[in-house]
Amino acid sequence: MAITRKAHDDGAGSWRRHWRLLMSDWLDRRAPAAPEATLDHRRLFILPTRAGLAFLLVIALLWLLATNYENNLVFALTFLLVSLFVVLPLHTFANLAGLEIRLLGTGTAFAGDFAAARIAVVRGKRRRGEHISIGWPESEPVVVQLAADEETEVEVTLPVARRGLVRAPRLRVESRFPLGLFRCWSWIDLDIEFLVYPQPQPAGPLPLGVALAEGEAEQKRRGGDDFAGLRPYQPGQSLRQVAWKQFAAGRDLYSKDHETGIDSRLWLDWDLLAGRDVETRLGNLCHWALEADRQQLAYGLRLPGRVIEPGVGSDHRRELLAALARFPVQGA
Amino acid sequence: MQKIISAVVADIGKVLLGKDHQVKLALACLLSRGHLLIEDLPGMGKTTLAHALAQVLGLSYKRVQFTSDMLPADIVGVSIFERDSGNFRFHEGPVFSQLLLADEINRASPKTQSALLEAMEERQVSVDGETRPLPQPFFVIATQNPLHQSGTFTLPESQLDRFLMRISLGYPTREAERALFQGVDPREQLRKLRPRLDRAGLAQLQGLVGQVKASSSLLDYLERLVLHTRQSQDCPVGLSPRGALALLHAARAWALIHGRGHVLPEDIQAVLPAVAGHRLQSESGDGAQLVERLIRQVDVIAA
Amino acid sequence: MAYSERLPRESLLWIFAAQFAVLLPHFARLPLWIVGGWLLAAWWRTEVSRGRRELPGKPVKLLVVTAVVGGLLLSYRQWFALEPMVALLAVSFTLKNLELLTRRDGFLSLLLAYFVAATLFVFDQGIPHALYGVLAVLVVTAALVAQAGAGSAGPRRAIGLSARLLAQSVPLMLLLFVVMPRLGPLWAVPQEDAGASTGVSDSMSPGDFANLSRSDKPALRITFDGPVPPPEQRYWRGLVYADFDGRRWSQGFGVDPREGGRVYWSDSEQGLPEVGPRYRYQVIQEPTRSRWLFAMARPHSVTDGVGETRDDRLVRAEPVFSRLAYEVRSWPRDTINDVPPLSDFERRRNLQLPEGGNPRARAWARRLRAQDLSAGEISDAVLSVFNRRFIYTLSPPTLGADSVDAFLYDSQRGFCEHFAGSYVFLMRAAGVPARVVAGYQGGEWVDGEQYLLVRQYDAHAWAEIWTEGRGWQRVDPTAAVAPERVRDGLQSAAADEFMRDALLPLHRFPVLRQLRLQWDMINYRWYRAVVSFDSERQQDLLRDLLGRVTSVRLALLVGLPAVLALLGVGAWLWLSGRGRRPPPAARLYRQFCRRLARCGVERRRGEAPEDFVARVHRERPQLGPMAASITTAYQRAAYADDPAALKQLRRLVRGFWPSLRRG
Repeated sequence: MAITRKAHDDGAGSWRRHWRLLMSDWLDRRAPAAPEATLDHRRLFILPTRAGLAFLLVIALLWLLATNYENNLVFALTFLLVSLFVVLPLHTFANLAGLEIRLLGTGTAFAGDFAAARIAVVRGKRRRGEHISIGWPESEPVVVQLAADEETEVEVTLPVARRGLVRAPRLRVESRFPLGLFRCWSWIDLDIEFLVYPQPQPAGPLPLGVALAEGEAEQKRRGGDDFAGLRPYQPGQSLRQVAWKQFAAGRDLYSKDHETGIDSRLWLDWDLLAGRDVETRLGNLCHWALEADRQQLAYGLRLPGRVIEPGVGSDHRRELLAALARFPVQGA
Repeated sequence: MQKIISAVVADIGKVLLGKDHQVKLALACLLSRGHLLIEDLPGMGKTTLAHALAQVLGLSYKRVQFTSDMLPADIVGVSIFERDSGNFRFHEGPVFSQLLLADEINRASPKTQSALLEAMEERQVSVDGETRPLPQPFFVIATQNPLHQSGTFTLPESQLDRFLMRISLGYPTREAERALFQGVDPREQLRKLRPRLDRAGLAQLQGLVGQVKASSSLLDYLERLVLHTRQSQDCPVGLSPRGALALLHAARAWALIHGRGHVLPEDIQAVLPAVAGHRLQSESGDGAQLVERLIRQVDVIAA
Repeated sequence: MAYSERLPRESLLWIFAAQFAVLLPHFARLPLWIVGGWLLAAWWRTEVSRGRRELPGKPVKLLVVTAVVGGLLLSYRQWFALEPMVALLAVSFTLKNLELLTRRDGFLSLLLAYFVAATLFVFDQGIPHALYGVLAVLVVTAALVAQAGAGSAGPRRAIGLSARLLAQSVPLMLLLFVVMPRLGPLWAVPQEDAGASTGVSDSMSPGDFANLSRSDKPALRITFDGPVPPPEQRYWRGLVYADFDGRRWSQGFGVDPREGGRVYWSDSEQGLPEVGPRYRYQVIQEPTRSRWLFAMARPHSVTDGVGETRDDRLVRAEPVFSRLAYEVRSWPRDTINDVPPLSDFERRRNLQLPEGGNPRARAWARRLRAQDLSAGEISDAVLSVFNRRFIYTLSPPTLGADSVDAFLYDSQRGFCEHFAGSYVFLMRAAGVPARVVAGYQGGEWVDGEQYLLVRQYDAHAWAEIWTEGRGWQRVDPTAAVAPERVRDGLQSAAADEFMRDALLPLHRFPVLRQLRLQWDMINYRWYRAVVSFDSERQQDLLRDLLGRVTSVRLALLVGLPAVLALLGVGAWLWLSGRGRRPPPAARLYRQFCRRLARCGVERRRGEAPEDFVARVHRERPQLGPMAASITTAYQRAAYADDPAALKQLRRLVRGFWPSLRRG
């Protein structure tokens, strides 16, 4: 992992970037994105590790020792290690070959956090899959041990910095089984997309009661159980709501105005946050939404071009956060 | 044995016209010592089926109509203080019968429901710290209105697992309906039914179910089915080990009913919707559809 | 698994196990403080992993390094040698253990362990060492396996995988061993030269040979190409003692090549006849740490680095540090007619006696000389006295200052060195040039492998006298006393005393003796086949295999098995990786389905046989009956486990060729 990070920091980064681009193009053609992938010889690469190169050095030293002492047993040991070095890549390759990797589902995350994808790793063959690490280059990989004919589920995480629909890069599946002298790896694209919510940014207390209530919304709010006051009767209103007592006392026709608790109806309004930049606004709205959800208040959202009626529950929250996440990125 | 089974099926078929498959499922359920849940609209013949089964198999039969104000004691029974003798006497509830028809189980409160479900599972009831065994055999046919009907308490999914099968009878076939119109009175038929089996015979049949052979090829298929439910993205909840075992039992009984000494994949496929449908229910998906897809996707022959 | 990751505890334990395995045979050779230091470091590191202790800080490490360097300087004067090298490796283990933190450190330590395992073979190439080496490599490889982490660190798993990997590597290793060219030393390397030499030494003091007689270690193994000399001819000459100082016999000045003695090296021409009867043989000599070799009289060797001295012996340019094989041809003395006369210098050398001492022996010699006898007659006179009065024993009494007199007139009990020494003394005193020869006599014939096994207790001393016209003649005074010593070996000559001090008197049990001979035979084979496999033998073998060694044939020899071996391993991996094979019934049924699919009726994944056959009936009515009987057979075979149905199914499916029938 240290190597890749170094590549980013490298001064000659442009060349590297170019190389990576070429590489990823080639990979895309060779192993196109699909939610399911079986590792085969077309997707697997194998090379000695640094320890493997050191092993070669030891072999060379042993050969020198054997030659200079004309010692046949040292020769035998040297050749044994050479043969081992020839046999090893077969094992390393076989450890990964035929492995099936399937996307089970993706989670959501807030920007600046880690997004997780659930992945099934299936060893459908009679062989074990040992010490297989799966992960994105930027994050800590998950190490999987599979018995023969076993399947396991892992959660791989990717740090996500920006909100929106994030396309995950290629996953790296790697194994150094059995001796760590060879490294077999594959880059697979499971077509993973994360919906990343904006990072919550504190924006002061919830805007209770300051919603710019108007129009349709007000109408709908009427008709609750709480008695809210008397209003002049207007033709067409239900006779059931007429305040007959007052009428009997000689006053005009009034209708009783019932409302649901006005304070629990909360509008998280884009316009309330005028003057801040787009991402901050979204972050603030996100923070409010979470806060309201925590306090179990009904809350709605008004965004330019999108209105979500107040509501509660996890589905509602999901819908609302998704709307925030999908808000068009400015300047894009 | 085979003759008796076909006679039983035929007898009930006379009462419940055109529902051979469901009758066989119910019988398989009973033979594999499981309980049955029938989910259907009123008037589809749920009661008739239960009653006919009790008649033909010679079981003592009780019917309880579940209502929202029912208490567990109404099902299980209650200990009443008798002034004369100066101690408590236990009055057995309807659960002390061999075949209990629990009609519209989802009308009762969850507490009452779970009292019944517990009795089903344990095959005994505990009242006032005293454990009383239920009669043998003990078979519950519960009926349930479709879930969206109002005023019901949905059975929790964990409780659904207590039923070996869930079936629905559905509308009668055209021929059957025509026969109904032509004056074939099911109640009349019901009264005519005579027991085909005694208790020992039933026990023997139930014993035979366990002897039906399930070859390794078949178990392999079963394993793959179960594995698929646990791995597939379609199924939010996979089939539990209890569910898998239930599937095998039911398939054995099904094979026995069809006069075979070994289970075929077809048997599993036949009972799968009834056995797995209610266990695989997802939030959105319909259990039946899920099972259908499951059958389509898992290869019968080992690869 | 990043290299900078910390080592888990089980990896650590495996590393220590590997280090222990490779160091164990060296423990005896290493100074005690290194062994103790290694144990201490391993213990410390384990304590650290348990969280009970901290790794040493910089100052402590510096102190340790200083102490270690000082210790090495004190322990080893000479740096460019094998033992200090091993000590250095062991010390580097120790120091590394003190900072064994990351996976990188672990790998380094284990790779080093392979190297240490190899140094083991430099000290000894015997079978036990080889076997131990295999074990050590197994453990080191298992430790590498265990580095991967928890799942692989279980002893059974790690050792098992390691054994499998090594076993798979063996075929290729054998091939490489046979065909890889041996270049010969690229530069001079230090040899193990500590420790006393064993076997016959370059001087003879009383008691030397009695010491040797207590050891039954092999000294020489000799194979003959052609006739085998009779037992009384089996005198393996190693040294000639010409100088006597009154107590000790030694080579004397001007003979040993180290002191400038003339040596005819094997590449130089010399005046030996190329014709005539001779013995051709190969001697495999155990390491002696000295330069002299052993051969019968009048030897000539074509082996590199072996030469002949003027006193009829073979020597080697370098001391024999490890088992050495050399080819020898010997011409028995009596076959040589043309004998050059003895030079004055040689005559003086072989008549040399100390100024005084042993007056009675000298007086006897003077009396013999006065009788004006020939050399042979004088010798016979002395031997007849030996024969009459003397007793052969392995535990003679200690002799005083005039050792020859004491032996001849007082104790009259002795051992080959006494007989040879006093005989030569008497001959010289009587004016006959004479010398003591030391080496081995006899040997045990190993029938199974057709070679002569000479042990240390076969060490022997005898004499040679100069007779005019015939040259140097061998005289064995011991034979005059105990002829069976020469004929049957020491064991029969001194049955009661033979190997009396041995811890286990194995020689007394014939079965064990037989076993020991077997073991020696195995050793011999091992040495011939493996240890002494050099470029010459390699060429021979390749010629045997290929007829003529051309690059194409060589490439074929290397390439073909290599490719085959790799294919084999690959196939094994592929086969073992294939899914479980479906049961036979399922395979047959699938075959049936494939054939049906070819004519357009394809079974769907989840379609059960019953449903499928119904569909076949609908879609291809003419195939229906056949399909139905196959389906029934399949159902009975697969689900009722009916073996008869399986046979029927096989028959039916084999005869089912719908596509062919339909054209």
